Parts: sequence; structure tokens; C-alpha cells
Amino acid sequence: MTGFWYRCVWAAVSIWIGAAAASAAPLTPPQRLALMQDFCAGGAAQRTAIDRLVSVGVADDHDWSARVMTALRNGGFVCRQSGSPVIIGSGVALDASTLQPVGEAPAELPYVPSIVMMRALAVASAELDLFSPKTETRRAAAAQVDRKFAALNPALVERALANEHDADIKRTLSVALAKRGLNSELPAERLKAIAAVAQVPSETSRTLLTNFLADHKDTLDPASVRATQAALRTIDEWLLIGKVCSVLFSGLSYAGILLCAALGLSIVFGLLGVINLAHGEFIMIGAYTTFVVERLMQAHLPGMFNAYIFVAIPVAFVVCAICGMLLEVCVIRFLYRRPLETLLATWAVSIALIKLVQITFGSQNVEFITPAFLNGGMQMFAGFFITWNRIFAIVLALGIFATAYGLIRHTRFGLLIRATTQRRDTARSLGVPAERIDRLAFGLGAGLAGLAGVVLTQITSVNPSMGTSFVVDAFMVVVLGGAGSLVGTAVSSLALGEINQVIEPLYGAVAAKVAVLVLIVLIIQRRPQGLFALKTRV
Amino acid sequence: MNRRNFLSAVGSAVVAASTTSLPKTAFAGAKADPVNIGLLFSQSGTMANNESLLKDIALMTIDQINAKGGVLGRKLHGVVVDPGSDWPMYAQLGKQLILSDKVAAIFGCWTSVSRKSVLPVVEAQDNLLFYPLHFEGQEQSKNIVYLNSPPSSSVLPAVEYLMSEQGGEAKRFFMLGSDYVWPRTINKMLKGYLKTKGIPDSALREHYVPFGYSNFQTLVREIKAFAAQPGGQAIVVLTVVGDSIPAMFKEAINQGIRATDIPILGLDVVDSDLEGLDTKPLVGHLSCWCYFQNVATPLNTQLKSDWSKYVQTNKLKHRPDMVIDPMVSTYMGLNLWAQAAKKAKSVAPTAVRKALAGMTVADPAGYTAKMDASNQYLWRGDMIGSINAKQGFDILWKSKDIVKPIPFSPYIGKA
Amino acid sequence: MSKLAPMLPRQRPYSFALLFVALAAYLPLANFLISAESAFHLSLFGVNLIGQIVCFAMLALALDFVWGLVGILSLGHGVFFGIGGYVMGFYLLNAAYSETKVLPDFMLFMGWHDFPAALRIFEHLPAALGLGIAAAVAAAGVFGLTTFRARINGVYFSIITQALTYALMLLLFNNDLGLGGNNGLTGFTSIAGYRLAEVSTQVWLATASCIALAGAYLLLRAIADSSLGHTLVAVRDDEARLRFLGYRTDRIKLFTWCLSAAVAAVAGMLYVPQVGIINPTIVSPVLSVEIAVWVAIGGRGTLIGAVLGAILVNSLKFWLSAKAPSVWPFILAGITLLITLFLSNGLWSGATLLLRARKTSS
Repeated sequence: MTGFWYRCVWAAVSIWIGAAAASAAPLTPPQRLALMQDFCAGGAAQRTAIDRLVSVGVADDHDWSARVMTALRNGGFVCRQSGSPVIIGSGVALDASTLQPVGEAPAELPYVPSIVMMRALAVASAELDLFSPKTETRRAAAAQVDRKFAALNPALVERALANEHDADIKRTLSVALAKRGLNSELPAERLKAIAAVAQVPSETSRTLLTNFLADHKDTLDPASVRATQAALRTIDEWLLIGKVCSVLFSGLSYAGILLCAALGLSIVFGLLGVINLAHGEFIMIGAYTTFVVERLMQAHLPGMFNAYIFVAIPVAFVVCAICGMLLEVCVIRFLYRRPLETLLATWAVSIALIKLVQITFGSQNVEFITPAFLNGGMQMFAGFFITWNRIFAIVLALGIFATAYGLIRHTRFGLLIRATTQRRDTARSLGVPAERIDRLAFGLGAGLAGLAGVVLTQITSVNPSMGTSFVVDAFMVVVLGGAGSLVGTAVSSLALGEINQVIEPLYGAVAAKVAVLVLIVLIIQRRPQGLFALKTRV
Repeated sequence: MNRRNFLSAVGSAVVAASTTSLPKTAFAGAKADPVNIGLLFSQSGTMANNESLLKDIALMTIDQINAKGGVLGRKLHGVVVDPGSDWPMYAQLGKQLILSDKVAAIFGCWTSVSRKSVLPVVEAQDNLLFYPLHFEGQEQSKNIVYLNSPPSSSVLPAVEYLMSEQGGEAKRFFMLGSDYVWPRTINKMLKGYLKTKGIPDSALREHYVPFGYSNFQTLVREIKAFAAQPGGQAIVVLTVVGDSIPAMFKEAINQGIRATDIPILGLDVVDSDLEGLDTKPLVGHLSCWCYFQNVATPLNTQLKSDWSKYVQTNKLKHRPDMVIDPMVSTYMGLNLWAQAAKKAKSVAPTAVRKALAGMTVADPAGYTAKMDASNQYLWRGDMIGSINAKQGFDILWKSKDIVKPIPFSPYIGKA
Repeated sequence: MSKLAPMLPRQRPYSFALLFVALAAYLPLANFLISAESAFHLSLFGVNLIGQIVCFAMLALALDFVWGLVGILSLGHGVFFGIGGYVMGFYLLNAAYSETKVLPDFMLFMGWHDFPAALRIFEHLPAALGLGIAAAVAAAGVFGLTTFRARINGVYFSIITQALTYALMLLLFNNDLGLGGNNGLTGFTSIAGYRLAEVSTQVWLATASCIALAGAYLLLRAIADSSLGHTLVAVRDDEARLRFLGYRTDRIKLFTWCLSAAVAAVAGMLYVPQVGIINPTIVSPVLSVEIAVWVAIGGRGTLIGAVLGAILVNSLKFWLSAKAPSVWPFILAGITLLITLFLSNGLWSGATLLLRARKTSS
């Protein structure tokens, strides 16, 4: 097993450290060259060369070792057939022994590590970084060492601990060392180790303790066995909580997307009784507007690039609102009180829009560079990992909903929309310009769809036909929630999102979708006007 | 009224008739007549990203062949149709290309589904489909020329590598694919192969998602949970296609699936799928093809620069600096066809097919590809690529010489 | 749909049906007897194309029956077309298996060793035909029973039919169900003993499609002209009033709905052997909306209009998709918009009114 192999290697390293500790001066270029040529020779010598690199870096020549290590991991290390290897970093080629620039980039291709070598390099790099002058690097290295505690070299880590003055890092390293105590002879150390492992419940720690129990079941003392079983129970509880939270979180993020997509539709359908099959295309236009904004900002405002998504929000809203109003003026206006014609007309517009976008931007997926603050995620606790882009989608969805709700409920414009929806003729006789309200409301609905497009750029792939998959879902949400009711849309998207994500891990994505659709159809049979029906003119 | 009815019905019949009654002399045409070559690649829909690249390199190769004088004194003309990623449309347009445009050969299809839709058409009409993608094998039709590798030459070497000590000694496999013939067959073969290597069923997971699926949140979580379970190193064998690939990788990046922890072997991943992704967190994940564009041969340098010029001159919406394996296969396929037609002194499919057997053609990957003498599979070299931080692949391993393709895998029945 | 749409003048039903019988006679002539060099010859490709278009016309006819006459806009008629098509596909799989003893592709890659017993019931053509129609009618019945009873109509009904066709498409795409998945049903070799690859089989299939269209048209026209037909129009124009007058409108709607499903299923059954493959995209939501577009363009409520609309749009589509694929969506969108905005009752009604106006003025 690789764990055993690692222990051998690091035993070798500690011997080297002992030897290297004797010398305290940086290596000379010929010594460096010898080390690297051993590496370039390949085979078993490669691994010992890595060990020596670490020991050299720990003992004296830290800067050089770190640079070589980084180059090795980043595909910037070029072994040459004759002469010194070359390190390439940020376009500059340096001689690896002297760290002086060489004239031109070498013809050979850089060293590509295999997966096993990548792992070895990762651990070696972490060990090296424990001695880096920068606190951040050491912190990251300590976390890495903690994760791979089974493979760490205790002598090295203890030496790092001795040199360390940051409290957090010291703690991480101590915990990592403690975890190694699992295989210790002393019961006290073992108990400490079990407690240390159980402190951060996860699937890995569960596996570790299960293996530990299985491997040593004949030789362990009862106290250790009880402690391990108790630890396993705690871990399992946490894992269950983690799983439930994960499902709720995924459901929430899916619900957020549905909400964004359906909100505009709800207003338009509720108010105007218009089935807009081009709604999905407004979502798509919003996404492409974001793309254009991203490209423009990349070209002209690179400093503020990461904020492009915030710039895209108002821009997409305005662009889609204008498109919506154009559609209303040119087509929908003539088709009121004829919902079936509107349906066909908007369908025609949608296929034309898709083709137009295809011709302008191509039918490929559009590449978005995720803003830096939306990358990655955070492990909350056992089995529950949240990604920033989905948090952002949820927050944005809530924001959009709150704004729309506030608009409809608390502004004059919203009041006029509600009046025209509920009692059109009375409103008109009171002087409300119903046609203009219709136009503006349609624009609002389209603008909200555009915002949905902005949110989606960070989660799904963007291409001209992305809208078609959202139309059916959005309509289902609206139909279930009740046309025209914002709260209804919110509730139904939440319900549908959660139900979908609960079924999905059990029966698969298709079953989840089909089940949701069938469920809606059944509910509609019982309550055709939706859950939160408004009196509308439909 | 009657007149109107009659006229409209006859009118549509005439429309249909007029588009179909072309002179039958296309194959034995007058010297100056161009030879039609059908290009059956989608330019819209979920496969558009990938297939439009193949269409354009086919057109470029046709230009190159014409610049050298064409074939048998006649110029080639690429007939472009768009099946729109709709499999029955491939069959329909295939019929149209053969019956209406009288093409001498069809170059087309990416997914196995589209190839299987076209298969009965080319068999019924006895024409030739040159298929440029690696695929699941289990097929050998005299009307299809297989320009790329079956699993024996591509998937199995990659899996062997991952199971070796160098590759991390993989012992558990999470097979995630799109739900259609290629992933299902690959996984079936893989399961049979793994069984012969002693991997128990409990170490395997198989999961399929619909075409174009993009919400991998739950699945990536499952993968992480699977990998954390005891039993040894876990890897993901990814056979999703099209839009699902970048979606899967995005989720993998966000949830932190590193190659050092859980290597992903993406069997259909090409450079174009990595566009726009920050691939630093993906470094080390693998793919296997017969060609990666980093390979340093004079023919490859020439091809890449030709392609770059072509894209820029014609203002195409592709990246001028990206060439992927299926493009190279299409390029080689057209050259192969031209050579065979010259040798057979005819463009008729039956003659060309006979001339193809045993023919060799230069491969930009640095090998000399050879057409098998009997099964119409092209012998190619094999390479394993590792994703690098520049949205491309570094070549981790390549075979010393071309590999014998095995159409029917011995492992299929074993699972 | 305006409630005051005038009752359309009685057409002479037989002449229109005769047209398709004539076409049915022309097809074998054009292919077998007229020589290839003549402009009136139809190649296999041409015959096949006509056959497919005629099947679509039948599908449009089915939709117009429920939409134009009864006012139920179904955006999911692809479901019934698909059910008929898939059942025919199962029969063809059986026929291919009996002949070649090789399992269809999708069964092979799913790892099955034998032809499933469940599919064996479709082994004989008459059984398959009957079961296909029965399945479509059953599906229509189940859906219609609950929906019409709950008095869901208009826009909500249309959206629900879209959702259902979407759900069916998703289900069919899933390989685990063993219905071919994304691959669809392929590998057909023969029908009723005749090889599908033979030109004559295709010609006779196209002829059969024309005759089926004529027959369906006669049937539906007969119903539309009968007193039941008047009731149907009454349901369309004012269902509530009719209900208050004591008619069981939900039963009437259910009957027409099931009949329409049967016609659509027959269209599907004739379509599949001519295309040679069936796959879940046939029940995609987009196709189902397109059917409504054909009917709307041609002329809703007139039956003839639906057939003409389907023929016109599909002919244009086949022609333009080959010559100028990037222009076709704009043209279709343009035509649809023009029709919905200016000629909301469709081309045929517009033409008829024009003719009548000229007649009365002269």
C-alpha cells in the first residue's frame, strides 16, 4: 500500500535531514546540477532526488528548492539533453542551477508529472513550505500536512513546530502529529489520536477509524475500542446532518434559479394573460449581455474585471426590458385577449431570436471567466460543502425577489400594475393608462428574465438554446404558484426545487424531473388556479 | 377552390420532384464536374461546438487537395448540411446527400448515436461514411471507415496506466456518463475488463445523466463520498459528452476534486471543452486520444499553421491555435480517401473501399497510420494527455508505434 | 379565438379526399413507370419525402380536429404521434430480430441477452397496429378524463400538455427503461415481410400514407358535418352555456380527444417505417408546438387548412434546410407572425373568404 511506501520514503528523508543539518551553506551550482540531473534521469532516482530537494530546502537552500519545486509542479521544469535544466516561470527562462536568465526558451517540452509523482510533489512541497518565510504559505502547508498526516515525516514536522511562532499553525501541526498517534503503542496516545481524528468529522476520518478498528481488532484494549466506536457514532451523526444540509442547500440553489426564471413570467402571465414562449430567450439574452459586458470590461477596464457581474445586472435588466417592450409594441399589443395566438407568435419570435444569437455569437458554449470571489467553496462541516457561485445565485435570487416584491407592493407603478390586473376597466375609467402599464409591465417581466440569465451564467453553460430548457420549468412554477402572485412563485419554486433535489440522489435526475412534472399536473387538477391564486383577468 | 387544392398539392409534389431528379451521371461524370463530398456535421444544437470544427477542417483539407490538382483531374466540392444535433436528421440528410447530391463519400458524425442512425442509410445505398471519432467498437460495417480508435487502443491503455503503480494504483471506479450507446458500451467493456483484473463489483459505481445535463452538484458530492470510502484509490471514468463536460469540470473545480485525490479520466474531453475554465485546479486529470496538439513533428507544425491561417482568412469563430484529435482524423480521412480514389482511378464507393485496404497515410502525431487490410479500421498511435494550467493537454505517455485495433472487445461478455 | 367566428361554408369534402387518392395513384406511377429522365419521375428520395410530409399532414389534421373544431389547443400531440411511432418501432424490432437473430443495438449495450418478452406482443403487424391505436387512446383517455372533468382548459391546458410531452421525452431518453433511450429504435429491416430498403416498399408505404390521410379526412369531415359536429363547434364557442343546457361537455371533449389521438397514432405508425428510425425527439415540446403552427398557418377549423399548412411548412422546411439552413427559422418565424397578426384564421380561411367576397361582388 502506498501509505507504507510513503513511510519508507519519509524515513529516508529524516536520515537525509540529519545529514543535511550538518551542512548549513547553500548548494553550489554544480551540486544543484547533480541533484537535478539525478531527477531528470528518471526511474527510482527521481524519488530520491525529490527527497534530497526537500532536505536541502529545509536545511539551507530554501529559496532555490522552493523555486525548483514550484516549477516541477507547474509544468515549468524542462530537462535538457545537454546542459543544465531550465525553469520557466511567467515567460522568463532561467537556468535551474544558477537561476540566471538563459537566452531563449529550450526546444524540449517541460516535465509532465504522473499522478503518483504529483502526489509526491504535493507532499514534498508542503513539507518544504513549512519552512517558508511567508506565514500564508506555511499555513496552507500546515493544512496540507494535516490532511495527509498519515504520510508525514514526524521529525520534519516537529522541527517545523519548534521553529513556528504562529499559534494557529502550531495547533494544526500538533493535531496532525497527534493523529499519527493512532498507530502508537501507548494507549494514552492512541486515545488522543482518536479524539483528534474525530474532532473534524468527515468521510475520510470515518474511513480511517473504520480501517483502524478492522486492522487492530484483536490487539486493541477495550478503552480504545469504545473510544473508536463512540467517535464513529459521532462522525456518523455529523455526516447525516451534513447530508441533509447538502440536500437543502442544493434545493435552495435550484429554487433560486427557478425563482429568477419564473418571476418575470408570473408578472406577465398574471397581469397580461400572455403566454410568452420567448421568455426563455429573454433569459438567454440576459446571459449573452453579461458575456458582452464581461468582454468589454476585460478589454477596457481590466482592473475592475471581477466586478463585471455587478455591472452586468443593471445592463442586462435594461437590455432585456427594452427587448420586451419592443416585443410588446410590435407583436403582443395586437394579440391581447387572444392567448393562443400570443403563444404562437411568441414561439415564432423565440426561434428567430435563437437563430439570431446563433449567427451573431456562434452556437458554441460561451466561455465565462468566473470572478475570483466566486471560485471554489467552503467545507462547512462533515459532508456539507457549499460553493460560492451557488451562494451568490441564492443571494441574488432573494435580492431580485425582494426588489420585485417591493416594486409591486409599495410603489405607485406596482399599484397601477395590480389595479390593471384585477380590474382593468375600472382602472381605465379612473384614468390609468392601461396600454402603457401593459408595456412597462411586459418590460419589467422581460428585465427580470434577463436578471435570471445573469445569475445562470455562473452555474450552467450558456449557448443559444439554453432558454428552451427553462421555459417549461418556469411555466410549471408559475402555474403551480398561481399566476400573478409573487409569493406563490417563491413558495412553489422553493417547493419544487427541494422536491427535485430530494428525489435526485435517490432515483436520478430524470426521475426527479418527471416526478415533479407529474406532481404539478395532479395538483393542478385539484386546484386549477394554483396555490396562491390572484383574481386576474385570465 | 378545387383548382387551388389541386394546384397546391401538385405544387409541393413538383417541388419535391424538382429537387430530386438530377442527372444520374454524377459518378462517371464529365471530366470537369466536381466530386461531391458530403459533410454531415452539426452546426447547431448540443454538438455544434465540436462538429463545426470538423466541418471547417474538412473544407480546409478539400481546399488543400484541390490546390494540388484535385482527384483524377476533378475538383472536390464539400456539400455542407446541418443535422442540428438531431439523430434522425443525420439519417435524413445522409439519404439526401447520397440520393440527391450524389456524394462519393460522407464525412460525418461525432456521437455514436448519430453514426448508428446513418449506418442503415449508407448500407442501403452502398456509400461510405468516414467516421473520425474514437468510439465503443462492437461494429464493423463495410460501409463505414473507422478513422479513430476503438476502446482496445485508447480506453484500456489509459485505465491500465491508472491501475499501475505510476498511475496511482486505482482500485475503485466511478463511471459517470451521458445516457447513450457509447458510454454504456464503454462501461460494459470496462466492467468486464476490471472483473478479469479482480476488481469486485462493490468497487464500481455506474451512473448516467441525460444529454446536455449540467447540474453536477449532487453527483460530485457522491463522487467525493465514494472516494472517501475504504478499499483503495478511486478514480472517475467520465464519459459525458458535449455541454456536460465543462459543467462537470466547473463543479469539480468548485468542490475541490484534485487529480492528486481523485483523478478523472475524461474520455471525450478535448481542448475546446476546457476553454474559459481556470484549469490550474484541474491539472493532472487525464484524457486519451490518438493525437494531442503539443506533439512536436513537422507535419503537425504545418497543420497547425495551415489551420491558423485558414481560421483567420475566413474569419471563423474558432480558436486559431487549437487543433484536436477528431480534426486530425478528418484531415487524415480526406487524404486517405483522395489517395484511394487515385489508386482505384474512380470515385465510386465500391472501388475506393477496395483500394483503401492496407493504405498508409502520414499522421501529424508522428506515426504512419495504416488502414487495416480487412476491417476498415485505421491503425493509429495512442497517447495519454494530462490537463495543464493553460487549458490544454501535456502528453504524459505515447505508444511507440501504431496499435492494432480490435473491433470486438473480448471483455464485453465478461461482466 | 374570437367567439364570433363565422361558421365556415360547407365544403365539398369528397374532392379534397380524392386529391390524395390521386396522389396515392401517382406515386407508384411516378416511380415505377415514368422513366428517370422525365421531370415527372419521382426518385426514392422524393417519394419518401412525400410520404413523410403526408404523415405530418395527418398529424396536423388530428390536431385541427380538437383545436379548430372543439377549441382544445393541445401542445402535446407529439405524444400520440410518438406512441404510435414507438409501437410500430417495437413491431419492426421484432421483425428485424426474427430475420437476423441479432438483438437491436440498445439491447446489446444494455447488456440484455434475450429479446424481452414484453416486446413480443408486438410481433404481428395487425396486433401492433391495434395496440398502437389502443395505447394512444388509453393515454388520451386517462389524461382527458381527469383534465376535462376538472374543467381545465385554455392556456393552462396547453401548458400542461407541453409539460407532459416534456416528461415523456425525458422518460424515453432514459436508457434504463429499455425503450431505446437516446439511441432510439434502429436497425429496421422489413415490414410484413417486405424489405424496407426496397424502393417498392417505400413507394407502397407512401401510397398507404396518402390513402390513410384521405380516409382520416373523410372520417373527420363526416363527423364535423354531422349534428355532432355542430355540438363540437358549440363546445368551442361557449362551453358553459352548452353545459347549462344539459350536455356532458367533458364526455364530448373526451371523445374527440381520443379520436384525435387515434388519428395521430396512425400517422406515427406510417411515419416510422419511412424514416427508418424513431427517437425521443419526436415527442419533444418543440415539435408539438410546431404542429400547432402548421395548423395555424394553414387555417384552423377547416381541416383542409391544417393539411395544407402542414404540407406547405414541411415542404419549405425540407427544401430550405438543405439550401439555406440559417435562413429557415427566420422564414418560419416570419410566416407565423404574419399569420397570427393578420390572418388569424389561417391561409385557407383567408383564401376562402376572399373567394367568397369575389363571388358575391361579381
